[in-house]
Amino acid sequence: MIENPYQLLPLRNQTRYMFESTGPKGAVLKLILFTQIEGDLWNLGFGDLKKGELDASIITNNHDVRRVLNTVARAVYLFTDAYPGSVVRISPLDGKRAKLYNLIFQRRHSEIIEQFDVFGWLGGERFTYNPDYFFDAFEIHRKS
Amino acid sequence: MQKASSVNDPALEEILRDATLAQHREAILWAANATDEELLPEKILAVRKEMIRQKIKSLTIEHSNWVLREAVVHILKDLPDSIPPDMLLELTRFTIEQWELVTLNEAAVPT
Repeated sequence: MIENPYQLLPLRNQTRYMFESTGPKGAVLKLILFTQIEGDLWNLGFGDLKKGELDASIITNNHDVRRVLNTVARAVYLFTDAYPGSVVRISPLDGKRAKLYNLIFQRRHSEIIEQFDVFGWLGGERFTYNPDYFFDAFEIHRKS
Repeated sequence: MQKASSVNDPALEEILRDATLAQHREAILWAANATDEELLPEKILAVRKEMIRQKIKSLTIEHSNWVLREAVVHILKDLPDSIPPDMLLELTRFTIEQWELVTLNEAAVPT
């Protein structure tokens, strides 16, 4: 159950989703981007959208991180509905995000595995996800 | 799976009609029309290179007798049709360098 996501605006055959985050920093436009890496493998990218720039490294600090992450999760559901069989790769840009993503997978593991097969990348090798380990990147595949 | 162009995208037209998003109009138009590689250039290149490294790692175990051409064709054949020429060139160069590096290192290991 994804609680209270922002309204998503799909584009480009549901490979891009925009939404507006609102908080103390005002209305911040965000973009979630699914990029085909090869075959059924897609990369999940995400950042703040300004004219001529998608800033994936920024920490917006708009006091709505939970709602933003719920919105990204909602986009993953919509994307995998539109592209069944796709594998979505989530690669953190930096150490801070790696900690955050590992924390999310650890805390919501039981909920996620109801809908997705989850794999973790560690030292260039892929493993079935185990919440006891800290992974460099993740891959999720919607169960049929 | 090829992405549709945003030109005449009804979803985009609807977004642009939304008065509450008027302040973001230019950013929306830019994002809708930019390629993925323009939006996230470094990350997409890095993820594709990592994917190539992983493929080379398993290929050199399963097909250690493959010549360079076979390896390059196999590794790059599943890239999307929409990949820009400069990225394709960069990844081809990277694949050749990595394949030669790995196979050279393996050849150098005494048995």
